Amino acid sequence: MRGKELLAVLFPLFLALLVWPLLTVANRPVLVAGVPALVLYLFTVWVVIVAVLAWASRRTDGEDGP
Amino acid sequence: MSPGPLIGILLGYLVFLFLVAAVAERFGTRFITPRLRTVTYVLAISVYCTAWTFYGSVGLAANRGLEFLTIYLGPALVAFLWPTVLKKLVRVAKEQRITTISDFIASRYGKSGPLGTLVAVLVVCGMIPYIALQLKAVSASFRMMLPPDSVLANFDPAPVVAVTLGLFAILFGARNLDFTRQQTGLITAVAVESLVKLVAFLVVGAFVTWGLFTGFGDIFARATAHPEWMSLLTLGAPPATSYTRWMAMLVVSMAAVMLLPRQFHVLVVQNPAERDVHTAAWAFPLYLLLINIFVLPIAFAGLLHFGDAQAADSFILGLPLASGARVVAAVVFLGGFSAATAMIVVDSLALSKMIANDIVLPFVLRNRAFAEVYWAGLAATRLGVIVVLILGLVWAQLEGGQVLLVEMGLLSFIAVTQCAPAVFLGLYWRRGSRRGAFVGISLGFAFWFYTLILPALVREGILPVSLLKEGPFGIGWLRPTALLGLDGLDPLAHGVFWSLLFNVGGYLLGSVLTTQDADERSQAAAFVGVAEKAEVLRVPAILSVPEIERLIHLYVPEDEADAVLRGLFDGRSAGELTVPELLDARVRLERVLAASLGGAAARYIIEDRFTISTGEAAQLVDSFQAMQRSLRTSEHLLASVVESVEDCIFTTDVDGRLVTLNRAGQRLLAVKADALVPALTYLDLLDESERKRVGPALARVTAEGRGWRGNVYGLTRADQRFPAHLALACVFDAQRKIVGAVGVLRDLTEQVATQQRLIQREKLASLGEMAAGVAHEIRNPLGGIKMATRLLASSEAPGDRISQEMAHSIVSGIAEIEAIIADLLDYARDTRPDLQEYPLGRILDDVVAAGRAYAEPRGIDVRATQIDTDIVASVDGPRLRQVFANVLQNALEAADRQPRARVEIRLFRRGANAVVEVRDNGSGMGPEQREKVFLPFFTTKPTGTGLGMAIVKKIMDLHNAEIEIDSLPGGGTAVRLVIPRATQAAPAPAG
Repeated sequence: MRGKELLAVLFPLFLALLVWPLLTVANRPVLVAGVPALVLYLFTVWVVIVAVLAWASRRTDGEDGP
Repeated sequence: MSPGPLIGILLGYLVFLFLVAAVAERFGTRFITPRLRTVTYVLAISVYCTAWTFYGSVGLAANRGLEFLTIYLGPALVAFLWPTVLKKLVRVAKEQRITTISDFIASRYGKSGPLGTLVAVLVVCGMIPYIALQLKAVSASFRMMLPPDSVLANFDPAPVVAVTLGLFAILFGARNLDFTRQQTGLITAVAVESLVKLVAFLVVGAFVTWGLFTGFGDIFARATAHPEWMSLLTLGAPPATSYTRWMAMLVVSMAAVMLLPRQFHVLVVQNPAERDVHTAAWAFPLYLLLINIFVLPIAFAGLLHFGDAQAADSFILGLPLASGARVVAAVVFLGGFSAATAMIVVDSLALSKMIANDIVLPFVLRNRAFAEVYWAGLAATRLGVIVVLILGLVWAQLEGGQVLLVEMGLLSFIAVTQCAPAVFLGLYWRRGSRRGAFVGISLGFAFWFYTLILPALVREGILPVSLLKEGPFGIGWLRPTALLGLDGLDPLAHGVFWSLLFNVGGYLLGSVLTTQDADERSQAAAFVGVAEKAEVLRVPAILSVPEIERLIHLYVPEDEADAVLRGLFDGRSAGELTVPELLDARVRLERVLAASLGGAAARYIIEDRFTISTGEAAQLVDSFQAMQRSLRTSEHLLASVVESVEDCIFTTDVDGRLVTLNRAGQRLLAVKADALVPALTYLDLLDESERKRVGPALARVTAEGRGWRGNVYGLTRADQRFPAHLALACVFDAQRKIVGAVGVLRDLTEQVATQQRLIQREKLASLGEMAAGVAHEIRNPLGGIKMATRLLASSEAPGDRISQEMAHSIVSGIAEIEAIIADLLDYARDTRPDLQEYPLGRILDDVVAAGRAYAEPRGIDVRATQIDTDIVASVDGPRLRQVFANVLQNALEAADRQPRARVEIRLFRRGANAVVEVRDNGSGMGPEQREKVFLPFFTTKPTGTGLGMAIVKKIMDLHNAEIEIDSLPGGGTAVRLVIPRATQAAPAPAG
């Protein structure tokens, strides 16, 4: 599968992680490891996003020429 | 901080920026490696984070919780689509030499000037408050840095900063009209600023988190001790953000990160290489992540320290100041300053380009001031920078309008999102049309204004509160924040929903309900199909080389014109260019102009080259007509040659079916031009057996594109065979593809007949020679025999009566033999005819008179009624007399045994010949007899040597005359002697 297509498919999936209703799962007024649950959740997703994109860029880069 | 060092920092930083830009501009090409260039690109697109981010994020977090994150999560999410969508956007923009978002939309929809103007006006209006916000941040942070009793307490650095940045933007951005060119100095400076603001934020974040507190856990633990702040760490419950607002802001920031004027300029227009998009896709979200890590800690630290969110926007600067960390405060000030200046520079530049290309130039062009376009464009761009900055400055200083200004940060995101449907749908949906884009963008901005700006104006106090509460004129369902009674939504989500609904709806419906013109279709294909290199739908007119040169000298600065020209023509001279290359040069010229003036203006200028004066038009028409005439003449000439040729010339298609056939061919093959049924192939011109013989060979050579020639037997439509020579050659098109064949079929009937006559003549001649030899040899002994027999037969000789009578009969036999020998010798005598000019009528008269003497006793009617006595021919008179006599004798003998025997003699002209016709009503001949009639010793008569007609033939041949014989068994015979007449009508010799 081409990296570009993989990323295009991941877009709505990661979008779903960052909007209602999935967001309600982490939306609790508690601290997890000293950090508010929702804040931890959002930043974790964010880190995953960066990681996935960085990993994919090795594949997508140069996929269809310069 | 005392004013001196502060002003020093401020001015020093500005000088540092100029230095960075100047050095990068001067030496950039030498030391910027591709990797460094990619890093620069990633940092430069982080111009996304402005002073609004730097100060505003903390303020927003302290007031509304996690909402600020949407502004950065949206871009991080949409980065998933960058390798596809952004890459295509970059590719299209580079290919079309697009410089602004308004230029992009105008170009996509058929290089439409009005559409570009609409977008430019709306975007500029939406962005100026944003710039004002940056200047305000500069003023506010400057004031905060000063002690309250400072002499500079009333000094506002904003005007100085604005002027300096304006200068910077002009110097490193608007020095040249072509914005697609790498603005290395500007981009490097912006990248350095991004680094400064990131470092500053991380420094202050670390200072607050670990300097003032003991870490994240410490801050959050203390914050959660205040239950009233707990809602800031969750979603859904006021004052925290609702899910709909969260969603709306995500969507808006996804569009804004690519379409905000400064983003489009850095991300798309100044993209150094397409592949850098892949790196930016992960590095930019990482940058955003880093710059946001400390926002919440600082916000809560500020809340904990200051007690409420009143001055939350300045927490980031207030905390280090309050704790006496002057260096950290200075770093923060520098970070905020760098965020503001980068945004001001890039945004004012991008907006000035829109103002110049899509607002000012259309007016200049409409007034047809073409010569001034380049300077007008440059002046408008540079003035545009200044005007944008002055407007921002003025707004920042206004007494009123400050509420709106603060809200404009977000509202401008939503404004620019109104361009998203036209841009992104237009990038993938070919049917998207100009009218659709016009309707969508207009409706989108109208609803943006109604549902978002009007409420802000109410809060500002400019408009009455009743407008929101009861609706305009008391019409409840028109309330700007609850349109059609849709309340319960967050006002921002409400505005985003309605504006985008009408925008997308208007765009789709408008596109579906209207048809695109040729320009639009061509541009749509170029944008949508750019990856697949779609076919060119619209073939643009060609410009001549001098025309292109003139345009370049008009619109490109003198020092660059030559380089541009070389690029256009690949360094070749005008004469070497082919038409397709000229076409290509014209397309590229349009793009060169588009890079400076925008797509719509470039199209306008190039098309204008075709509006010619009436004099030029008349000249053009004249030369065109002359061209047509000469074309027609040569066509006629060729056609008449083909038609007048005696050979049969035909053309066929690839399958060998006849397409055309010249007149000779139509005669020969008895087909009419319009009856050239496609079923006929060139093989139908050939005889059945020939088709089998040469058909396969012909098919092979025509398939291989070679030619063929050879002798064949043709077939007329009356199914008669005729000998012919066929030459067939293939016809090719420009790509060396076989499109058919042309053939020449020459009728060889005449040639073959002549050949056969020659052979016959040879045959007769050798036969005659032999006969003459024999005759000669016989004549000598015969002389002796005759003498002896005469003696025997004489009465003086001894012998009886019987012996004498027998001797007599021998003598008469010998006389007969002698006559035959004389005939033979006569036939074989190969003398040249003694040609003199004779009136044929006179020769004929003597012969007819002799014939009558023979005929009368036998009751044969001899008629010589039609004698043209004026005909003179160059002939051997005595021999011709013999010919006439022989022919007449034959006729008389043939008619002799018939009732009402009749012989008709005529002498008449036929063309260049004289014809002597002798017609009898005798028994006639069959075809077999007729063929042998000229052979020596052939006779049907009981008496006669059978040499008569052979001699006729021979003498006629000597005269180059022809003999025609019409004869049917029982139908009589007509012999026509066709004798060439004397070329000059000589008078009949007297006597």
